[in-house]
Amino acid sequence: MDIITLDVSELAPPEPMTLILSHLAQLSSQQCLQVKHRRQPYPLYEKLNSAGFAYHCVVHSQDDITLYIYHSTAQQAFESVFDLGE
Amino acid sequence: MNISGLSFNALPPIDLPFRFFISAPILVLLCAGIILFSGEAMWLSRWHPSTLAVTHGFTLGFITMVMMGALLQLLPVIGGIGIAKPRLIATSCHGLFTLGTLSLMANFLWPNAWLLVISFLLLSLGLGIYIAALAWVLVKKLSQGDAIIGFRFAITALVIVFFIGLLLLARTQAGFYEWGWPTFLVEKLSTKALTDGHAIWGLVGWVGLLIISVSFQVIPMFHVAPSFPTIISRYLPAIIFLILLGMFVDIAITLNIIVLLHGVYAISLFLVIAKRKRKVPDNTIRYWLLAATSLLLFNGFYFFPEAYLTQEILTSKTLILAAFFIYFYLVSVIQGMLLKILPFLSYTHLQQRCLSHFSAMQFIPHMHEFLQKKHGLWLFNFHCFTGIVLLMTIMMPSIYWLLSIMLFVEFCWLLKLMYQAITLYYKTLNKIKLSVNE
Repeated sequence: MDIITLDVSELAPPEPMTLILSHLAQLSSQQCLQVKHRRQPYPLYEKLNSAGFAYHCVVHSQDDITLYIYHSTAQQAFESVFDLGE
Repeated sequence: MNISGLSFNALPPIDLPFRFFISAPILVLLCAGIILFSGEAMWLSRWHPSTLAVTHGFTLGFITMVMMGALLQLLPVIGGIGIAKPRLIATSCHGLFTLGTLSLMANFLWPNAWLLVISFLLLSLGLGIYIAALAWVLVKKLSQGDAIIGFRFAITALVIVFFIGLLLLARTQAGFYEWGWPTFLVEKLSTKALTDGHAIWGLVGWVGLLIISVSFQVIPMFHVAPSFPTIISRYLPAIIFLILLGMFVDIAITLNIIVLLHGVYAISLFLVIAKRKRKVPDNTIRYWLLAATSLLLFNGFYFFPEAYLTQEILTSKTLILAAFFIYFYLVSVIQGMLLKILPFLSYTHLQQRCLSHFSAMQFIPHMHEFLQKKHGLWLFNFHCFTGIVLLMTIMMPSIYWLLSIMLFVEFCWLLKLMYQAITLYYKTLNKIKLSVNE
Protein backbone atom coordinates (compact mmCIF):
# COMPACT_ATOMS: atom_id res chain seq x y z
CA MET A 1 0.00 0.00 0.00
CA ASP A 2 1.42 3.40 -0.99
CA ILE A 3 1.38 6.12 1.66
CA ILE A 4 0.68 9.65 0.46
CA THR A 5 1.60 12.28 3.01
CA LEU A 6 -0.15 15.59 3.54
CA ASP A 7 0.63 18.22 6.18
CA VAL A 8 -2.28 20.57 6.96
CA SER A 9 -1.14 21.45 10.48
CA GLU A 10 -0.26 25.04 9.60
CA LEU A 11 -3.34 25.82 7.54
CA ALA A 12 -6.48 27.68 8.65
CA PRO A 13 -9.96 26.20 8.11
CA PRO A 14 -11.36 25.35 5.65
CA GLU A 15 -8.09 24.74 3.79
CA PRO A 16 -7.26 21.46 5.59
CA MET A 17 -10.62 19.96 4.62
CA THR A 18 -10.31 21.27 1.04
CA LEU A 19 -6.85 19.74 0.62
CA ILE A 20 -7.89 16.45 2.20
CA LEU A 21 -10.93 16.19 -0.08
CA SER A 22 -8.94 17.01 -3.21
CA HIS A 23 -6.44 14.28 -2.27
CA LEU A 24 -9.24 11.80 -1.55
CA ALA A 25 -10.69 12.47 -4.99
CA GLN A 26 -7.42 11.11 -6.46
CA LEU A 27 -6.84 8.33 -3.92
CA SER A 28 -6.75 4.84 -5.43
CA SER A 29 -7.70 1.70 -3.49
CA GLN A 30 -4.01 0.82 -3.19
CA GLN A 31 -3.15 4.10 -1.52
CA CYS A 32 -3.47 5.53 1.98
CA LEU A 33 -3.54 9.23 2.76
CA GLN A 34 -1.48 10.10 5.84
CA VAL A 35 -2.50 13.53 7.17
CA LYS A 36 -0.64 15.58 9.78
CA HIS A 37 -3.25 17.77 11.50
CA ARG A 38 -3.50 19.99 14.60
CA ARG A 39 -6.92 18.78 15.68
CA GLN A 40 -9.37 15.97 15.09
CA PRO A 41 -11.47 16.80 12.00
CA TYR A 42 -14.68 15.40 13.52
CA PRO A 43 -17.00 16.72 10.77
CA LEU A 44 -14.89 14.81 8.24
CA TYR A 45 -15.10 11.55 10.20
CA GLU A 46 -18.87 11.37 10.05
CA LYS A 47 -18.88 11.52 6.27
CA LEU A 48 -15.90 9.30 5.48
CA ASN A 49 -17.62 5.99 6.18
CA SER A 50 -20.68 6.82 4.10
CA ALA A 51 -18.38 7.90 1.25
CA GLY A 52 -16.65 4.50 1.24
CA PHE A 53 -13.55 5.43 3.20
CA ALA A 54 -12.14 4.13 6.47
CA TYR A 55 -9.83 6.03 8.79
CA HIS A 56 -7.48 5.55 11.68
CA CYS A 57 -6.35 8.37 13.94
CA VAL A 58 -3.30 8.50 16.17
CA VAL A 59 -3.30 11.34 18.73
CA HIS A 60 0.26 12.31 19.67
CA SER A 61 -0.74 15.32 21.77
CA GLN A 62 -3.62 17.79 22.06
CA ASP A 63 -2.50 19.66 18.93
CA ASP A 64 -0.67 16.97 17.00
CA ILE A 65 -2.49 14.09 15.35
CA THR A 66 -1.86 11.78 12.41
CA LEU A 67 -4.82 10.61 10.38
CA TYR A 68 -4.76 7.69 7.94
CA ILE A 69 -7.56 7.56 5.35
CA TYR A 70 -8.03 4.76 2.83
CA HIS A 71 -10.76 3.02 0.87
CA SER A 72 -12.85 0.70 3.05
CA THR A 73 -12.04 -2.15 0.71
CA ALA A 74 -8.34 -1.75 1.57
CA GLN A 75 -8.81 -2.41 5.30
CA GLN A 76 -6.66 -5.56 5.32
CA ALA A 77 -3.88 -3.97 3.30
CA PHE A 78 -3.87 -0.97 5.63
CA GLU A 79 -3.75 -3.12 8.77
CA SER A 80 -0.77 -5.04 7.50
CA VAL A 81 1.11 -1.83 6.66
CA PHE A 82 0.09 -0.05 9.85
CA ASP A 83 1.10 -2.98 12.06
CA LEU A 84 4.49 -3.01 10.37
CA GLY A 85 4.76 0.73 10.90
CA GLU A 86 4.00 0.49 14.63
CA MET B 1 -5.42 7.05 21.11
CA ASN B 2 -7.26 5.25 18.39
CA ILE B 3 -10.70 6.54 17.58
CA SER B 4 -11.35 4.55 14.41
CA GLY B 5 -14.90 3.43 13.90
CA LEU B 6 -16.52 5.70 16.48
CA SER B 7 -19.93 6.88 15.37
CA PHE B 8 -20.05 10.64 15.42
CA ASN B 9 -23.25 12.55 15.67
CA ALA B 10 -23.82 14.53 12.48
CA LEU B 11 -23.33 18.27 12.36
CA PRO B 12 -26.80 19.72 12.91
CA PRO B 13 -28.46 21.03 9.73
CA ILE B 14 -27.16 24.52 8.99
CA ASP B 15 -30.57 26.19 9.20
CA LEU B 16 -30.64 25.45 12.95
CA PRO B 17 -27.73 27.70 14.01
CA PHE B 18 -28.67 30.19 11.27
CA ARG B 19 -32.08 30.87 12.83
CA PHE B 20 -30.41 31.80 16.13
CA PHE B 21 -27.90 34.04 14.30
CA ILE B 22 -30.59 35.81 12.25
CA SER B 23 -32.80 36.43 15.28
CA ALA B 24 -29.99 38.06 17.28
CA PRO B 25 -29.53 41.33 15.31
CA ILE B 26 -33.32 41.66 14.95
CA LEU B 27 -33.60 41.81 18.75
CA VAL B 28 -30.88 44.49 18.84
CA LEU B 29 -32.88 46.52 16.30
CA LEU B 30 -35.76 46.31 18.76
CA CYS B 31 -33.38 47.64 21.46
CA ALA B 32 -32.46 50.52 19.13
CA GLY B 33 -36.18 51.33 18.89
CA ILE B 34 -36.60 51.25 22.68
CA ILE B 35 -33.60 53.61 23.07
CA LEU B 36 -35.11 56.00 20.52
CA PHE B 37 -38.54 56.11 22.16
CA SER B 38 -37.33 56.14 25.79
CA GLY B 39 -35.42 59.40 25.47
CA GLU B 40 -32.85 60.64 27.95
CA ALA B 41 -34.51 59.24 31.07
CA MET B 42 -33.25 55.67 30.62
CA TRP B 43 -29.60 56.80 30.96
CA LEU B 44 -30.10 58.14 34.48
CA SER B 45 -30.30 54.76 36.26
CA ARG B 46 -29.62 51.11 35.59
CA TRP B 47 -32.99 50.36 37.23
CA HIS B 48 -34.97 52.31 34.63
CA PRO B 49 -37.49 49.96 32.89
CA SER B 50 -36.08 50.78 29.43
CA THR B 51 -32.50 50.18 30.65
CA LEU B 52 -33.53 46.77 31.97
CA ALA B 53 -35.35 45.96 28.71
CA VAL B 54 -32.36 47.00 26.55
CA THR B 55 -29.83 45.22 28.80
CA HIS B 56 -31.80 41.97 28.55
CA GLY B 57 -32.31 42.55 24.82
CA PHE B 58 -28.54 42.58 24.41
CA THR B 59 -27.58 39.88 26.90
CA LEU B 60 -30.37 37.40 26.14
CA GLY B 61 -31.48 38.53 22.68
CA PHE B 62 -28.07 38.99 21.09
CA ILE B 63 -25.27 37.47 23.18
CA THR B 64 -27.03 34.36 24.52
CA MET B 65 -28.97 33.86 21.28
CA VAL B 66 -25.78 33.73 19.16
CA MET B 67 -23.95 31.54 21.67
CA MET B 68 -26.87 29.08 21.78
CA GLY B 69 -26.71 28.75 18.00
CA ALA B 70 -22.90 28.60 17.90
CA LEU B 71 -22.70 25.86 20.55
CA LEU B 72 -24.94 23.62 18.44
CA GLN B 73 -22.18 23.58 15.83
CA LEU B 74 -19.12 23.97 18.02
CA LEU B 75 -19.75 20.88 20.13
CA PRO B 76 -19.65 18.45 17.19
CA VAL B 77 -16.57 20.21 15.75
CA ILE B 78 -14.65 20.49 19.03
CA GLY B 79 -15.95 17.56 21.04
CA GLY B 80 -17.00 15.21 18.28
CA ILE B 81 -20.59 14.85 19.40
CA GLY B 82 -23.72 16.97 19.10
CA ILE B 83 -27.04 17.17 20.89
CA ALA B 84 -29.67 14.48 20.35
CA LYS B 85 -32.68 15.28 18.11
CA PRO B 86 -31.12 18.61 17.06
CA ARG B 87 -34.05 19.81 14.92
CA LEU B 88 -36.65 19.24 17.61
CA ILE B 89 -34.50 20.70 20.40
CA ALA B 90 -33.19 23.71 18.45
CA THR B 91 -36.57 24.60 16.94
CA SER B 92 -38.43 24.44 20.25
CA CYS B 93 -35.65 26.19 22.24
CA HIS B 94 -35.29 28.94 19.65
CA GLY B 95 -39.04 29.66 19.55
CA LEU B 96 -39.53 29.52 23.30
CA PHE B 97 -36.39 31.53 24.06
CA THR B 98 -37.14 34.25 21.49
CA LEU B 99 -40.72 34.70 22.69
CA GLY B 100 -39.54 34.52 26.32
CA THR B 101 -36.96 37.27 25.74
CA LEU B 102 -39.53 39.45 23.97
CA SER B 103 -42.12 39.00 26.73
CA LEU B 104 -39.48 39.69 29.41
CA MET B 105 -38.49 42.93 27.66
CA ALA B 106 -42.17 43.83 27.34
CA ASN B 107 -42.69 43.06 31.02
CA PHE B 108 -39.94 45.52 31.98
CA LEU B 109 -41.56 48.22 29.86
CA TRP B 110 -45.19 47.50 30.76
CA PRO B 111 -45.15 45.51 34.04
CA ASN B 112 -48.00 43.05 33.97
CA ALA B 113 -48.69 39.80 35.84
CA TRP B 114 -49.57 37.93 32.64
CA LEU B 115 -46.43 39.03 30.82
CA LEU B 116 -44.39 38.03 33.86
CA VAL B 117 -45.91 34.54 33.99
CA ILE B 118 -45.55 34.09 30.21
CA SER B 119 -41.90 35.20 30.17
CA PHE B 120 -41.23 33.04 33.23
CA LEU B 121 -42.69 29.95 31.53
CA LEU B 122 -41.20 30.55 28.07
CA LEU B 123 -37.68 31.28 29.32
CA SER B 124 -37.85 28.37 31.80
CA LEU B 125 -38.83 25.96 29.05
CA GLY B 126 -36.56 27.41 26.35
CA LEU B 127 -33.42 27.59 28.48
CA GLY B 128 -34.32 24.49 30.50
CA ILE B 129 -34.60 22.24 27.44
CA TYR B 130 -31.42 23.73 25.96
CA ILE B 131 -29.42 23.29 29.18
CA ALA B 132 -30.69 19.71 29.57
CA ALA B 133 -29.78 18.84 25.96
CA LEU B 134 -26.31 20.35 26.32
CA ALA B 135 -25.73 18.80 29.75
CA TRP B 136 -26.56 15.41 28.23
CA VAL B 137 -23.64 15.94 25.82
CA LEU B 138 -21.25 17.56 28.28
CA VAL B 139 -21.50 14.82 30.93
CA LYS B 140 -20.59 12.22 28.34
CA LYS B 141 -17.00 11.17 28.05
CA LEU B 142 -16.33 13.10 24.90
CA SER B 143 -13.10 14.88 24.03
CA GLN B 144 -11.78 16.24 27.32
CA GLY B 145 -10.22 19.39 25.88
CA ASP B 146 -9.89 22.52 27.98
CA ALA B 147 -12.67 24.18 25.96
CA ILE B 148 -15.16 21.43 26.83
CA ILE B 149 -14.28 21.68 30.54
CA GLY B 150 -14.89 25.46 30.34
CA PHE B 151 -18.26 24.86 28.63
CA ARG B 152 -19.32 22.80 31.65
CA PHE B 153 -18.58 25.70 34.01
CA ALA B 154 -20.39 28.13 31.68
CA ILE B 155 -23.52 25.97 31.50
CA THR B 156 -23.50 25.58 35.31
CA ALA B 157 -23.23 29.37 35.58
CA LEU B 158 -26.21 29.72 33.22
CA VAL B 159 -28.29 27.54 35.55
CA ILE B 160 -27.30 29.80 38.48
CA VAL B 161 -28.11 32.99 36.51
CA PHE B 162 -31.43 31.55 35.49
CA PHE B 163 -32.49 30.68 39.05
CA ILE B 164 -31.40 34.06 40.45
CA GLY B 165 -33.40 35.69 37.62
CA LEU B 166 -36.48 33.63 38.47
CA LEU B 167 -36.11 34.59 42.13
CA LEU B 168 -35.88 38.27 41.16
CA LEU B 169 -38.99 38.01 39.01
CA ALA B 170 -40.84 36.24 41.82
CA ARG B 171 -39.85 39.02 44.26
CA THR B 172 -41.69 41.56 42.16
CA GLN B 173 -44.97 39.78 42.87
CA ALA B 174 -47.31 40.78 45.66
CA GLY B 175 -47.44 38.10 48.31
CA PHE B 176 -43.91 36.84 47.51
CA TYR B 177 -42.88 36.98 51.13
CA GLU B 178 -45.78 34.78 52.18
CA TRP B 179 -44.77 31.99 49.82
CA GLY B 180 -42.72 30.25 52.51
CA TRP B 181 -39.21 30.88 51.11
CA PRO B 182 -36.24 29.83 53.26
CA THR B 183 -35.48 32.70 55.67
CA PHE B 184 -31.98 33.41 54.31
CA LEU B 185 -33.34 34.05 50.81
CA VAL B 186 -35.64 36.73 52.12
CA GLU B 187 -33.51 38.30 54.85
CA LYS B 188 -29.85 37.85 53.85
CA LEU B 189 -30.07 38.44 50.13
CA SER B 190 -31.38 41.88 49.29
CA THR B 191 -32.84 42.56 45.86
CA LYS B 192 -29.70 44.56 45.03
CA ALA B 193 -27.40 41.69 46.05
CA LEU B 194 -29.45 39.31 43.93
CA THR B 195 -29.45 41.73 40.97
CA ASP B 196 -25.67 42.11 41.22
CA GLY B 197 -25.34 38.33 41.47
CA HIS B 198 -27.62 37.82 38.48
CA ALA B 199 -25.67 40.34 36.37
CA ILE B 200 -22.20 39.13 37.36
CA TRP B 201 -22.97 35.41 37.05
CA GLY B 202 -24.57 36.14 33.68
CA LEU B 203 -21.86 38.36 32.23
CA VAL B 204 -18.78 36.77 33.79
CA GLY B 205 -19.99 33.25 34.53
CA TRP B 206 -22.18 32.30 31.58
CA VAL B 207 -21.06 34.46 28.66
CA GLY B 208 -17.56 35.30 29.91
CA LEU B 209 -16.56 31.71 30.67
CA LEU B 210 -18.07 30.52 27.41
CA ILE B 211 -16.15 33.10 25.38
CA ILE B 212 -12.88 32.40 27.20
CA SER B 213 -13.33 28.65 26.66
CA VAL B 214 -14.29 29.06 23.01
CA SER B 215 -11.23 31.27 22.45
CA PHE B 216 -8.92 28.44 23.63
CA GLN B 217 -10.19 26.43 20.67
CA VAL B 218 -11.07 28.89 17.90
CA ILE B 219 -8.06 31.24 18.02
CA PRO B 220 -5.45 28.49 17.55
CA MET B 221 -7.74 26.75 15.02
CA PHE B 222 -8.89 29.63 12.82
CA HIS B 223 -5.79 31.80 13.06
CA VAL B 224 -3.05 29.14 13.16
CA ALA B 225 -1.84 30.47 16.47
CA PRO B 226 -0.15 28.52 19.27
CA SER B 227 -2.35 27.07 22.00
CA PHE B 228 -2.96 29.26 25.05
CA PRO B 229 -0.50 28.68 27.91
CA THR B 230 -1.63 25.55 29.78
CA ILE B 231 -1.90 27.44 33.07
CA ILE B 232 -4.49 29.72 31.43
CA SER B 233 -6.47 27.20 29.39
CA ARG B 234 -6.58 24.54 32.09
CA TYR B 235 -7.13 26.60 35.21
CA LEU B 236 -8.55 30.06 34.37
CA PRO B 237 -12.21 29.00 33.82
CA ALA B 238 -12.17 26.89 37.01
CA ILE B 239 -10.58 29.69 39.06
CA ILE B 240 -13.06 32.30 37.79
CA PHE B 241 -15.96 29.96 38.55
CA LEU B 242 -14.72 29.24 42.08
CA ILE B 243 -14.12 32.92 42.80
CA LEU B 244 -17.61 33.76 41.53
CA LEU B 245 -18.99 31.41 44.18
CA GLY B 246 -17.44 33.72 46.76
CA MET B 247 -19.39 36.75 45.64
CA PHE B 248 -22.23 36.15 48.07
CA VAL B 249 -19.66 36.38 50.91
CA ASP B 250 -17.72 39.49 49.83
CA ILE B 251 -18.67 41.04 46.52
CA ALA B 252 -15.95 43.73 46.51
CA ILE B 253 -13.00 41.34 46.88
CA THR B 254 -14.60 38.91 44.42
CA LEU B 255 -14.99 41.63 41.79
CA ASN B 256 -11.41 42.87 42.25
CA ILE B 257 -10.01 39.40 41.62
CA ILE B 258 -12.37 38.74 38.69
CA VAL B 259 -11.36 42.03 37.02
CA LEU B 260 -7.65 41.25 37.48
CA LEU B 261 -8.10 37.74 36.09
CA HIS B 262 -9.72 39.22 32.98
CA GLY B 263 -6.67 41.48 32.64
CA VAL B 264 -4.48 38.36 32.73
CA TYR B 265 -6.69 36.74 30.10
CA ALA B 266 -6.43 39.86 27.91
CA ILE B 267 -2.62 39.77 28.07
CA SER B 268 -2.56 36.06 27.16
CA LEU B 269 -4.92 36.87 24.27
CA PHE B 270 -2.47 39.49 22.97
CA LEU B 271 0.46 37.06 23.30
CA VAL B 272 -1.27 34.20 21.49
CA ILE B 273 -2.50 36.47 18.69
CA ALA B 274 0.98 38.02 18.32
CA LYS B 275 2.48 34.53 17.85
CA ARG B 276 0.13 33.39 15.09
CA LYS B 277 1.92 31.95 12.11
CA ARG B 278 0.09 33.72 9.31
CA LYS B 279 -0.23 37.39 10.14
CA VAL B 280 -2.74 38.19 7.40
CA PRO B 281 -5.15 41.11 7.99
CA ASP B 282 -8.30 39.60 9.46
CA ASN B 283 -11.45 41.25 10.76
CA THR B 284 -12.03 38.62 13.46
CA ILE B 285 -8.51 39.28 14.78
CA ARG B 286 -9.36 43.01 14.87
CA TYR B 287 -12.38 42.17 17.03
CA TRP B 288 -10.30 39.98 19.38
CA LEU B 289 -7.72 42.77 19.74
CA LEU B 290 -10.49 45.30 20.41
CA ALA B 291 -11.93 42.97 23.06
CA ALA B 292 -8.52 42.46 24.73
CA THR B 293 -7.79 46.21 24.68
CA SER B 294 -11.22 46.86 26.21
CA LEU B 295 -10.54 44.42 29.04
CA LEU B 296 -7.27 46.22 29.84
CA LEU B 297 -9.00 49.62 29.71
CA PHE B 298 -11.73 48.14 31.92
CA ASN B 299 -9.01 47.16 34.43
CA GLY B 300 -7.46 50.62 34.30
CA PHE B 301 -10.78 52.39 34.80
CA TYR B 302 -12.00 49.97 37.48
CA PHE B 303 -8.89 50.42 39.66
CA PHE B 304 -8.36 54.15 38.90
CA PRO B 305 -8.46 56.09 42.19
CA GLU B 306 -11.95 57.58 42.49
CA ALA B 307 -10.54 60.74 44.08
CA TYR B 308 -9.24 61.74 40.64
CA LEU B 309 -12.55 61.17 38.83
CA THR B 310 -15.09 63.93 38.30
CA GLN B 311 -18.52 63.62 39.91
CA GLU B 312 -20.15 63.07 36.50
CA ILE B 313 -17.86 60.15 35.72
CA LEU B 314 -18.26 58.71 39.22
CA THR B 315 -22.05 58.81 38.88
CA SER B 316 -21.88 56.93 35.59
CA LYS B 317 -19.03 54.57 36.55
CA THR B 318 -21.21 51.41 36.68
CA LEU B 319 -22.79 52.17 33.31
CA ILE B 320 -19.38 52.93 31.74
CA LEU B 321 -17.93 49.67 33.08
CA ALA B 322 -20.99 47.76 31.83
CA ALA B 323 -20.58 49.39 28.39
CA PHE B 324 -16.92 48.35 28.26
CA PHE B 325 -17.64 44.78 29.31
CA ILE B 326 -20.83 44.16 27.35
CA TYR B 327 -20.32 46.22 24.20
CA PHE B 328 -16.57 46.44 23.71
CA TYR B 329 -15.71 42.98 25.04
CA LEU B 330 -18.62 40.53 24.76
CA VAL B 331 -20.43 41.94 21.71
CA SER B 332 -17.08 42.50 19.93
CA VAL B 333 -16.03 38.88 20.36
CA ILE B 334 -19.43 37.61 19.26
CA GLN B 335 -19.53 39.79 16.15
CA GLY B 336 -15.96 38.76 15.31
CA MET B 337 -16.85 35.10 15.69
CA LEU B 338 -19.94 35.54 13.51
CA LEU B 339 -17.76 36.98 10.76
CA LYS B 340 -15.63 33.84 10.94
CA ILE B 341 -18.18 31.09 11.51
CA LEU B 342 -20.88 32.24 9.05
CA PRO B 343 -18.68 31.67 5.96
CA PHE B 344 -16.91 28.73 7.60
CA LEU B 345 -20.14 26.88 8.39
CA SER B 346 -21.57 27.60 4.95
CA TYR B 347 -18.40 26.33 3.28
CA THR B 348 -18.02 23.27 5.54
CA HIS B 349 -21.63 22.14 5.09
CA LEU B 350 -21.33 22.47 1.32
CA GLN B 351 -17.99 20.64 1.33
CA GLN B 352 -19.55 17.75 3.19
CA ARG B 353 -22.18 17.48 0.48
CA CYS B 354 -19.38 16.92 -2.02
CA LEU B 355 -17.61 14.11 -0.19
CA SER B 356 -19.47 11.47 -2.19
CA HIS B 357 -19.43 13.58 -5.37
CA PHE B 358 -16.04 15.24 -5.61
CA SER B 359 -16.85 16.80 -8.98
CA ALA B 360 -19.45 19.04 -7.30
CA MET B 361 -16.65 20.83 -5.41
CA GLN B 362 -16.32 23.12 -8.43
CA PHE B 363 -19.60 24.81 -7.48
CA ILE B 364 -18.44 25.90 -4.01
CA PRO B 365 -17.43 29.59 -4.04
CA HIS B 366 -14.29 30.77 -2.27
CA MET B 367 -14.95 31.20 1.45
CA HIS B 368 -14.47 34.98 1.23
CA GLU B 369 -17.36 35.21 -1.24
CA PHE B 370 -19.77 34.22 1.53
CA LEU B 371 -18.67 37.27 3.49
CA GLN B 372 -16.36 39.76 1.84
CA LYS B 373 -13.49 41.10 3.92
CA LYS B 374 -14.24 44.75 3.12
CA HIS B 375 -17.86 44.28 4.26
CA GLY B 376 -16.62 42.76 7.51
CA LEU B 377 -14.29 45.73 7.97
CA TRP B 378 -17.24 48.13 7.58
CA LEU B 379 -19.06 46.22 10.30
CA PHE B 380 -16.00 46.55 12.56
CA ASN B 381 -15.85 50.31 11.90
CA PHE B 382 -19.58 50.68 12.58
CA HIS B 383 -19.12 48.72 15.81
CA CYS B 384 -16.25 50.94 17.01
CA PHE B 385 -18.17 54.11 16.21
CA THR B 386 -21.35 52.83 17.91
CA GLY B 387 -19.30 51.94 20.99
CA ILE B 388 -17.84 55.45 21.17
CA VAL B 389 -21.34 56.93 20.77
CA LEU B 390 -22.55 54.61 23.57
CA LEU B 391 -19.89 55.99 25.95
CA MET B 392 -20.78 59.55 24.89
CA THR B 393 -24.49 58.87 25.46
CA ILE B 394 -23.80 57.65 29.01
CA MET B 395 -22.10 61.02 29.70
CA MET B 396 -24.47 63.11 27.52
CA PRO B 397 -27.87 61.35 27.43
CA SER B 398 -29.25 63.99 25.04
CA ILE B 399 -27.53 62.25 22.09
CA TYR B 400 -29.48 59.01 22.68
CA TRP B 401 -30.96 59.38 19.19
CA LEU B 402 -27.49 59.08 17.61
CA LEU B 403 -26.86 55.85 19.50
CA SER B 404 -30.20 54.50 18.30
CA ILE B 405 -29.35 55.37 14.69
CA MET B 406 -25.87 53.84 14.94
CA LEU B 407 -27.22 50.62 16.46
CA PHE B 408 -29.75 50.50 13.65
CA VAL B 409 -27.05 50.99 11.00
CA GLU B 410 -24.61 48.50 12.55
CA PHE B 411 -27.07 45.67 13.10
CA CYS B 412 -28.91 46.19 9.80
CA TRP B 413 -25.51 45.80 8.16
CA LEU B 414 -24.85 42.61 10.15
CA LEU B 415 -28.26 41.31 9.10
CA LYS B 416 -27.47 42.10 5.46
CA LEU B 417 -24.15 40.20 5.66
CA MET B 418 -25.93 37.21 7.17
CA TYR B 419 -28.61 37.30 4.48
CA GLN B 420 -25.94 37.39 1.73
CA ALA B 421 -24.04 34.42 3.20
CA ILE B 422 -27.20 32.36 3.68
CA THR B 423 -28.52 33.17 0.19
CA LEU B 424 -25.21 32.16 -1.41
CA TYR B 425 -25.24 28.95 0.64
CA TYR B 426 -28.69 27.90 -0.64
CA LYS B 427 -27.91 28.91 -4.24
CA THR B 428 -24.76 26.78 -4.18
CA LEU B 429 -26.58 23.91 -2.49
CA ASN B 430 -29.13 23.87 -5.30
CA LYS B 431 -26.36 23.75 -7.90
CA ILE B 432 -24.73 20.82 -6.09
CA LYS B 433 -28.05 18.98 -5.78
CA LEU B 434 -28.79 19.46 -9.47
CA SER B 435 -25.32 18.26 -10.47
CA VAL B 436 -25.65 15.02 -8.49
CA ASN B 437 -29.38 14.62 -9.33
CA GLU B 438 -30.48 14.53 -5.68
